[in-house]
Amino acid sequence: MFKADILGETLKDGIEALTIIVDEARVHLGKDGVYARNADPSYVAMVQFELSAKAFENYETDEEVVTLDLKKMQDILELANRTDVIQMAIDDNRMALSFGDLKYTIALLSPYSIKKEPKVPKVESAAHVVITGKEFRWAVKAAGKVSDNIALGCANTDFFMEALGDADTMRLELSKDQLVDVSRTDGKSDEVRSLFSLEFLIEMSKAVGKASEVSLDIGKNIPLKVGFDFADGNGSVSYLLAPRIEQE
Amino acid sequence: MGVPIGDLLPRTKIELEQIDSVAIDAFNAIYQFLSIIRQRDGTPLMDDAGRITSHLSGLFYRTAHIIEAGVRPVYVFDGEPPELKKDTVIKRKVTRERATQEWLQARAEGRVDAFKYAQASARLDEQVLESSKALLRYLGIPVVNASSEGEAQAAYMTSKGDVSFTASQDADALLFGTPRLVRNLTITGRRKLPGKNVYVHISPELFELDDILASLEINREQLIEVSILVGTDYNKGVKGIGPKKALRMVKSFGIQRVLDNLGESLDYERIKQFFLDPDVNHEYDLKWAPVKEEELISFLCDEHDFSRERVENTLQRITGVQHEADQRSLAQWL
Repeated sequence: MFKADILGETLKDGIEALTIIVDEARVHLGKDGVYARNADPSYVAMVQFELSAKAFENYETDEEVVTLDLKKMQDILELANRTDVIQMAIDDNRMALSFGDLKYTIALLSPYSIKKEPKVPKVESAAHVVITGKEFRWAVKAAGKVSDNIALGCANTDFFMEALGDADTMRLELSKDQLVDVSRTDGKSDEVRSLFSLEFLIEMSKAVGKASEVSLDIGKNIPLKVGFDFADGNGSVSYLLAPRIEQE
Repeated sequence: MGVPIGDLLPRTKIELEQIDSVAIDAFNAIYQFLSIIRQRDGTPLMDDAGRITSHLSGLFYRTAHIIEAGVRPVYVFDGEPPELKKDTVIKRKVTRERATQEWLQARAEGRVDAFKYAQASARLDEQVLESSKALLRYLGIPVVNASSEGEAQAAYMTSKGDVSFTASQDADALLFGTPRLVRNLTITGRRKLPGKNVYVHISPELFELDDILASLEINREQLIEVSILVGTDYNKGVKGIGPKKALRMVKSFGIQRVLDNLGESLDYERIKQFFLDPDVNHEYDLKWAPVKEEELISFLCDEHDFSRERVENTLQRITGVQHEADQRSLAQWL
C-alpha cells in the first residue's frame, strides 16, 4: 500500500530528473521517503534520487519497491499544473494518479522488466565546485554550439568548462570569487580535467538549471558527479557520468 | 598445429558484438592470412618490390572488420619456442620446405593442386612479423610479446581479466587455462573450401573452459592428459588413440596406467606442468590508441601498393567506431 499527495511541481521535477537517465525505474517507497538508483542501459550515466516524506503533503506506505513507467507518468503529468496537488495511490500492481477532475490508473511494470539496481562506482574526485544551476545550464548550452563534448576541469581553484570543435572553441573560466564554492579535495593545485559527451549533459542541465546551486565533483579522466537539491531541499539528485577518453 | 581434440569440445555461437576485448594469437592469425590470402595458383599477394603482403591485407581488413563490430583486439606474438617444442619446429620446417618445392613444380605445370601446396608453404619470417607489428602500431592496437607461447600468454591475460576472450584456431589456449576461447574470429565470413568449388559461411564459435570440463566430467589436468595421449605440439600422440578413446581411458584409469598398459614411456608430467604453469610475460601495456591515419596510408599504399581508395574507406569506418569507443562506462570504476 502506498498513498501520497504531492505538489505537481515537485513530482514533475522529480520525474524529469530521473527520465534524463532512464525511461523506467525501480523505486523504493520507504518510510522516510522515496529512493531510486538507476543507470542507463549502456552504463554511461547513473542517477541517485531521494525525496523525503517531508516533500509530500501526505505520505503513507507499507514500504515496498515498485517499477514505474516514468515516461508514461511524465506524459500524463503534462496535463497537470505545477500548482496542482497530485494524489497518488498504489495498490494491486496499479498506480492511481488523480489531479483536478482527472483520475488515471496505470499498470506497474514487472520488477523483472529492468536491470538490477546498479552498483555505485568508487570515484575519488580532485575538486569540488559549486556554481549556480543557471550558469551551468548556460555553459553547457554554449558548448553545444561548437562541439559534441565538453571538458570540465580545475587549475588550482579556477574552474573551467571548455569545448573544442573541429574549428571552433568555447571556454568559460570562473575563479574562486566567481563561484559559490570551490575546494581541491586532493590537496593539489595542478590542472585536472575530464571530457564528457554533451548528449547526456545537455539533458542533465535541463533539470539542473532549475536548481539554485549545483555541485560538481571533478578530476582527471574520472566520472563527473553532478548534485543538486530540489523540493525546497527535501529532494536531492546526483548524477554520475562516465568520461570520454581525450585523443592524444 | 595445435592439439586435435576439437571434436570433443562443446561450443556455442557467439556474435562479434558480444566480444568487447580479445587477446588474439598473432602467429596463428597471421599464418591463417598467409595461407588463405593467395591467388588461384597459390602465389601470395605481393607489392611491387616483390615483398609478400597477404598477411598485411588480412591483418588490416579483418582487424578493421572486428573493430567495426566494437571489439578491442590485442595481438599476442610468440616469444622463444619452448625446448619441448624443438622436434615440432624442425618437423614443420621440413614440411614447409617440401611443400614449397611441390608448389613451385605444381605452379610451373599449371596443376590445380598448386594452391594446396602453397598454403602449406606459408612461413612467418622476420619481414612478415616486423611488418605486421608496424601495421598494428599504426592501427593503435596493443602488441604483446609473449615470453614463450602466444596462446599461453593470451590465456594468462584472459584469466587475469585484462581481456575478456582469447582468440585462436587451436584448442591449446584452453589447456593453458583460458576461460573463454573464440575460434574463427579473424576468418569469419564466406570461405571457399580448399580444393573444392564450394563456399561455406564461417562464424565465430565460443568454447568456455568451465562448460567443457563440466560436460566431459573431467578437470583441467585430465583435459591436458587427454590431449597428451592424442598428441600436442610437445609430444607425439600414442598410436591408435583418438580423442574419444583418450577421454574414456583417462577418466577410467588415469594417464599413468594407460601408458603402463600400452608399454609407452612418456615424460607427460613435464608437458602437463608446461600447460599448467607456462612462462608468461607479466609486463605488458594494454593501451588502445587512435589510428595514425597518415602513417598507415603511407605504409600500406606508398610502401606496399595497397589500393588507396579501399584503405581510406576502411579507415573511415574504423575511425568512426573508435570515436564512439572513446566513451567509457561507469563499470570501470566499480
